[in-house]
Amino acid sequence: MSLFVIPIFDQWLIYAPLLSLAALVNRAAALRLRDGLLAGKAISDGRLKEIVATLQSQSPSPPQPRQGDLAPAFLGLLPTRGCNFACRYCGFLAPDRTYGAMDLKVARDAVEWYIDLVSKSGLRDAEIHYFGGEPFCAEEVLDLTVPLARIRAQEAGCTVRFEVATNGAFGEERCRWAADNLDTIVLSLDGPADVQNLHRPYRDGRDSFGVVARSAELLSEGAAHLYFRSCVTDRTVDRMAEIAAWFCQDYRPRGVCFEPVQPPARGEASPFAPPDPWQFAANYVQAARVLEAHGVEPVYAAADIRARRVSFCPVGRDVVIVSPDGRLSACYLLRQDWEARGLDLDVGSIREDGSVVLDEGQIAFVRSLNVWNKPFCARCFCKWHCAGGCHVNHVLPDVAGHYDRLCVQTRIITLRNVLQGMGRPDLVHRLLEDRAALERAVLQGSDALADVGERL
Amino acid sequence: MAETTLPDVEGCVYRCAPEVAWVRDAGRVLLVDPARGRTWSLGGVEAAIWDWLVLGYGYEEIARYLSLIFRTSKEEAGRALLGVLLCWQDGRIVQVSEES
Repeated sequence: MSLFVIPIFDQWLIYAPLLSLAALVNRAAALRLRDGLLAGKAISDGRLKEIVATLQSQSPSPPQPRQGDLAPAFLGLLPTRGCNFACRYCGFLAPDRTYGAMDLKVARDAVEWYIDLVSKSGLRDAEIHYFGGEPFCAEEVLDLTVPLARIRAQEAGCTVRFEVATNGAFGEERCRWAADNLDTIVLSLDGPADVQNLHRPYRDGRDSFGVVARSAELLSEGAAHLYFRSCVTDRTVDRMAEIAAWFCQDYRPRGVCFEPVQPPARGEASPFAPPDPWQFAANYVQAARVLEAHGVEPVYAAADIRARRVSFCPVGRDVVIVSPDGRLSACYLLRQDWEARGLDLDVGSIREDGSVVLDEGQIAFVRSLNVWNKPFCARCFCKWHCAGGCHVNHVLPDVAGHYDRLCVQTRIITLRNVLQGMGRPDLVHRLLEDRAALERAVLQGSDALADVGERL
Repeated sequence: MAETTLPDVEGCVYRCAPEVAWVRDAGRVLLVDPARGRTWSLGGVEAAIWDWLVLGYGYEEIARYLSLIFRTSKEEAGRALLGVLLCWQDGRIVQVSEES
């Protein structure tokens, strides 16, 4: 049974993520719950008895890694690794390199293979995501594959939706095309002009704010779901609430995703450091309050308590991502970054003749990268939501309970989401004002009910 | 359809007629000519051709896309494209001009 206990001041939060059940109880009740559930002692109290009965009678199976035939949650296309920006924290690009675009035949063959796979799997909905680099730096790939996928999906009797992650540096006509043709647009916009221009200049050094802000305005008027993705650095962490308010005031996003910047992957120098995780989480909570007041969804994907998963990212969802050179991979990060972690995330390739070759052994390996095989996560209350995070960028600590930066902020934000869902934002704010109480909740070595017995 | 070969249409630019209003909706393109009280609804490959024209693609580039989608020769794709464009020209929803 996945049952966790987290101290919240003088109470205990009982959390069963697979049941979406959370309850705040006192010490005596927590002890009786532990004894009732783990030692089988009878419980006579009405409300506690009800909780135990619910926990015992409804025991949903925990999520499992995928098995059987490949069934991608979506197809990812990387039209190019190239980009017209030189974001000062970007780990994707070598500034002195030029990057080619995906051959249109490769793009066509990938889409046709995928739609055929969706159709043969008996699925009704196909989904294609475009990543980069900047996808619109190879816009011909989108211009071919969006109508192609629609035509093939119609022939196959299924629907298809499109999502793109973009820097938004395009002309008005292209922007309107995106708003009209794509279903979800994740627009990287870090904040007002000073923040955006500091973080995300063009490759030639020009400011990017003007054109991206215009795109944000046009996309706000369109039918596509607009999400902002704001990368947070040590310089901007204290401005998150202000940035959230600015987004809501000037645009109409459906959601805003705040992501802390990653340290440079290959040891490059960076003018920015990742924000302090306690500071990031506290400011995220403030920003989330601002967003929610405007009906905008705050997004921190690892702390999504609606998710029940064994792998945080596309890896583990059978996603196939096509690189410009025709490699099929489970991850959109650079190959050299996986290799630095000793991982091979390729699952196949598209041959010259257009046929797709899948490597069953590699698919099995990729499926094995899941939270069941991450002992560090076994006793964490976030395990079914964050699933240990990125397989490449989040190297889990060796010692149980020695949470790193990413764990700390994920645990705080997840705790916030649970308490918020219970209608107890007051406890969130009290915790954020009481560092000792917050640390007691966030840094306990194990959240498993069985392990916290002594402390109860 | 007349057997018009590609060289006869190379160098031509097709554009939406200024009196026609259009909007994209759920993968279709809806066109309205209020003065003549006519409407069109384009789907599938016709909607794609419309989008490519709006985005500024030339005849050859569109023919290339069609040849990729339908796995035909560029010439064959060009002839099919010409058929669509002539139909639109007849319907006065596009205008054609010589490329400078």
